[in-house]
Amino acid sequence: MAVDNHKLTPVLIGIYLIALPMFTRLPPYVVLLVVAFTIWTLLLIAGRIRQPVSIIRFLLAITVIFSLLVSYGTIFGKEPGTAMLLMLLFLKLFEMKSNRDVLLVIFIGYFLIATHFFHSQSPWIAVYVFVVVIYLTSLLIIFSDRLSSTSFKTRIRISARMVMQSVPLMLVLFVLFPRIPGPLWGIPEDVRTSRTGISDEMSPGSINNLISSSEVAFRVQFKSEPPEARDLYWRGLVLSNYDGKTWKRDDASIQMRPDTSYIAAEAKIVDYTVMLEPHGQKWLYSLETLMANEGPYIVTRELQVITENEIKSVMQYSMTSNINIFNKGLSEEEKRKNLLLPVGINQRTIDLAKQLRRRSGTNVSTYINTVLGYFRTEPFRYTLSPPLLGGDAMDDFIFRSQQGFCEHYSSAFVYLMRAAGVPARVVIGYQGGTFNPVDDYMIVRQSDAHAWTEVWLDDKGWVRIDPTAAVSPDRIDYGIANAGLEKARLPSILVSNSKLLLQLRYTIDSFNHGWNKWIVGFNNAKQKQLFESLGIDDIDMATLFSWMVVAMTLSGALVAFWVFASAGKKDKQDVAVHYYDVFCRKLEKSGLSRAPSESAEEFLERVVQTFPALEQKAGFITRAYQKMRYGGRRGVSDKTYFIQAVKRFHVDKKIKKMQK
Amino acid sequence: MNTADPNLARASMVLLKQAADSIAQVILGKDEQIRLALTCLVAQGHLLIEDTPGVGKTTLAHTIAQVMGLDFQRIQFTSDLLPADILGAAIYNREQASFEFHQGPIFANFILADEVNRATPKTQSALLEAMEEKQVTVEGETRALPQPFFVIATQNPVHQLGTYPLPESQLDRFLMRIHLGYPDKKAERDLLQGEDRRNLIAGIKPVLDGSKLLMMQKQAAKIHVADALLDYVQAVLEFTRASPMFEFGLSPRGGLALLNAARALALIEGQAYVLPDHIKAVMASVVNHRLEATSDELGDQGKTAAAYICESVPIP
Repeated sequence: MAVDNHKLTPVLIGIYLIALPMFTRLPPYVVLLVVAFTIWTLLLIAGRIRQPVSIIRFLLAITVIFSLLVSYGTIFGKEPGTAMLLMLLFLKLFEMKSNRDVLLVIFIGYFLIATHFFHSQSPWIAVYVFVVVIYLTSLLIIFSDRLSSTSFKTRIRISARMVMQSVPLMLVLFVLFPRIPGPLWGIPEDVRTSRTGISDEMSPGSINNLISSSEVAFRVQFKSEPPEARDLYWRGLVLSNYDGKTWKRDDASIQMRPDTSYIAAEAKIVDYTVMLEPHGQKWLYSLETLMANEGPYIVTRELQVITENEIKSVMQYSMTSNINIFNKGLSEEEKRKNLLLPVGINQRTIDLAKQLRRRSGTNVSTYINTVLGYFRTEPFRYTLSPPLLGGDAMDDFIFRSQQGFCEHYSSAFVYLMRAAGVPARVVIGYQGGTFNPVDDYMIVRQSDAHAWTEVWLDDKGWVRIDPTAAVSPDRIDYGIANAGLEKARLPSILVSNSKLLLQLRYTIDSFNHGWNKWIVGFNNAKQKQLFESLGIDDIDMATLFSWMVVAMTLSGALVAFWVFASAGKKDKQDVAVHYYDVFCRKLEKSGLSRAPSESAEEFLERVVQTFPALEQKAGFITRAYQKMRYGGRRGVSDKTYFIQAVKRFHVDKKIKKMQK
Repeated sequence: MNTADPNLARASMVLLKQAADSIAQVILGKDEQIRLALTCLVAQGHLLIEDTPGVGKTTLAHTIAQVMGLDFQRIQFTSDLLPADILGAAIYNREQASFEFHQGPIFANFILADEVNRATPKTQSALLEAMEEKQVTVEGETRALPQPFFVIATQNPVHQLGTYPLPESQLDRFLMRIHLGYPDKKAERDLLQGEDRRNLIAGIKPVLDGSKLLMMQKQAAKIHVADALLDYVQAVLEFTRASPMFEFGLSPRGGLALLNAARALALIEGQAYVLPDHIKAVMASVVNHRLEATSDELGDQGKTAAAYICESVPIP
C-alpha cells in the first residue's frame, strides 16, 4: 500500500519538532540541505513532483555524507552522528513506499529525540522531549488508522494517554536501573563543544568576559551555618607560571599530594554539598581551605580538586572546609617556581617592588600592607572595561592605565611580591554567591568569577591576599552587583529592581536545583543511599536487576488492570451520558429539546419528524448511545465512533431549510 | 454471567414474528394487543383481557393457543361454578373400590378462563392460586401443573350486572391486563366480509410447541438489564409510591412484572438488552390494573396511570 503524500505533512512536522533544538548546532551546509529537502518534500506533498528515482536518492545520500564530512571532518561522534540521522530522516521522505517506511522514520525519530539529552539535561528539554514523544506517538495512530476517522485532537489525546500509561514503567526504570559510577559508555568527544566557565589560564580579559553571564556555575547547600560573604572564596585553580602575558598552571604540582599538617589548626568547619553545572573541564570548586572530601577525586599539592574525566553532566559532591586555616608546605623547588618572573620586561614594576620592599623593612607582612596601601592610595580604578595594555603589560597597568579588573590586580600583586622575593601565586575561582530564599541554597554564577592571590609567609603558610579588596572593598563584602561597576555589563538579574521578577527567577532556579539534585543527580551513590534508607545495604547489581524486572512486571500489570477496568463499564457509561447530552444540546439550539422523561428512541422520532435529513446521523448516535448505556459490555468498541459522530453532528442551515 | 444466546434469541424472534403474523390473520387490526399477549406469554405471566362481550376476547385466546400448539382447555366461569369443577375431584371407582383423582380442566398448558368475574370469589381464588403456585392441592395431595402453564382470563367490565369483581390482590397475579376495543373501520369491514373466525382458527397451523416456548421463556429471562435501566424502573416505583395521585404505589412484584415484561418484549423485538422504551411499551398493560387513582383527576385529563407515569418520570 502506497503512502498518501498528504499524510507526509504531519511526518514532516514531526521531523522539524525533533530537529528544532538541533538547528542552532547544525553547520551551514547541513542547514542548507535541510531547507532544500523541505522545499522538495512540500512540492511532493502538493503533488507537483513525483518521488525521485533511486539514482537521485543515491546521489542525495552521497551529498549528505559529503557535506557532513566537509562540516565536521568525520561522520562519527555525537554531533555528526545525530546530524547524519536527521538528514537520513529527510531523505527517507523521498521513498515512502509503505507504512513500514513511515514506522521506520517514527522509530528513528524516537531515538533522535533522546539524543538531545547529550547536550542538555535541563527540565525544559525534558518537557520538550516529552511533548514531541506524544506527537510522534500520535503519528503512529495516523498510520494504523485505516479509516482516518480520528481527528488531530483525538489522536493527541490517545497518544498522550499511551505515553502517560508508560510513566510508571519509566519511574521503575529510573529508580531501579543499575547505575554505574562514571559514564556508561564513551561517546567520542567533539572538538567544537564549548562551555561557559573559567578556563585553565588567565590573561587580562579572561575573567572579565564571564562577568556578563548570569549562567549558574554551581549551587551549594550548606549543612552547617554558611560563612559570611567575605569568606566565600571558591577555589578552582592555582596559576603559578607567568610568561609576561598569561598565567598558567604548574603541571608538576598536580602529581604531588598536599601537606596535611594544616588540618590540625583551629577549626571553623563548613560542611556543604555542591551541584556543579557541567563546565567541560576536569576540576571541581571547593571552599577555602579544603579539609576533606568524598569521592574519587585527586587533591593536588596546591589544593586543587581534579577529576578523571571532563565534567559533562551535572555533578554533585560533598566537602568539608575550614575557613580559618591556611595551606602549608613549600619545597625548595616550589619556592623557586613561585618566585620566577619573565626576564627583561616590566623593569619599572621590579624597581617599584624593590623600592617598596626597602621602605617596609624585613617584615613580609609589612611589605604586603605597603603594596596594598599603594593600590589604595594611587588612583587605581576597578572597572569592567579597562584599556588595552602594551608590551610591558605590568608597567603599562601600574604606571599608565591604572584601570583594571580582578585579574589585573591579582596579577600585578603577585608580580610585585615575586619581584621582592616573596613567593606568591594567582588563584582563580568564584567569590561570593547569592542565597535563593525560595529553597535556601546558594547560587554561584559565572558573574561571580574572581581571581585572587596567595602569598607564602614562613610562619603561617600560604595566606590568601585579595588585592581587589584594596581597590574595591564592596566587591568582596557585598558581591559583584554592588561593587560600583558598570551596570550595563552586568547580568540583568543581578541589577534588576523588580522584586516580582527576582522572586520568579529564584523560583525557577530552585526548580532547576531540585531537578539537578533529584533527577539528573540520581547516580549510583544516591541510588545506594535510597536503598540504605529502606534498610537494604549492599545490594548487588544482579539483585537490583531482578527487582527491576519484577517491578516492571508489576507496574505493567497495574497499568493494564487500570486500562481494562476503565475501558469497561463506568468509563463507557460516562462517555455515553456525556456525549449524548452534547448531542441533545446541539439539537436544543435548533429548537428541539428533549423532555427528561423522553427516551432516546422517542426523541429520535421527533428529531426525524422535524429534520428528516438527519435520520441517519441522529439514528446512529441514538443506537450507539442505547447500546453503550443499556447494552452491558456491548458498545465498548463503538465509543470512539460515537464520540466522533456526536462531535461532527450539527444542524446546518440547509437542514433547517428542509425542516417540515 | 449468563447472557442470552444470540442465535437462540434470533430464532425466538423469528418464530414469534411468525406466530404474531398467524394470529393477525384471524384477529384483524389488533397487532398491538397480539404483541402484548405474546409478550405476556414469553414473560411467563398470565393475561387478563377486559372488554365488553363480542369484541373477540375468546377468539384471540383460542387463536393464540392454536398457534402455540399448546394443549388447550376452556373454562366458562358462571356463578355456580365450583372449585372442583376447575381443579378436578376424587371419584369413587366401584370396580377398584378406591378413590381415583379425575383431573380438572386446569391440567393443561393453556387455559382460557372465560368471564372470570362471573364466578364467585371462592372459585376465582381456586384458579388464581393455581396460577400463582403452578400446582394444585386436592384432598391433601399436591399435583404439579404441566409446563408451560399459561392462563388467559377474560372479564367483562366490572360495572356490568352479575359480576364479582376481582380484588386488587388477585388482579396483581396477572402480569398484564389488556383491552381489545372495537376494531377500526377497515378491520371491521374485512371481518364482516370474511369467513367465520372459528373456521379460520381451525385452519391455522401451529408455529410453536411447548418446548420451544419454554426455551423462549428462558431466553427472555436472560436478556440483559443495565444498571441504568434498573435505575429507571426504581424511579418509576418510587414515583408511584410518592405520588399523591395513587392510593398505593407499585409493589416489588409490580416492579418485577415491569422488568420481565420488558425483557420479553425486547426478545420479541430482537433486542439483546432492555431499553426504557420497552418499559414504556409495557407500562400500560402491566401497571394500570395494579394502581388505583385517588381521584378522578387523571380520568378527567383522559390519561391512564401508565401515561401519567411515562411522561412524569425522568429517564436517568
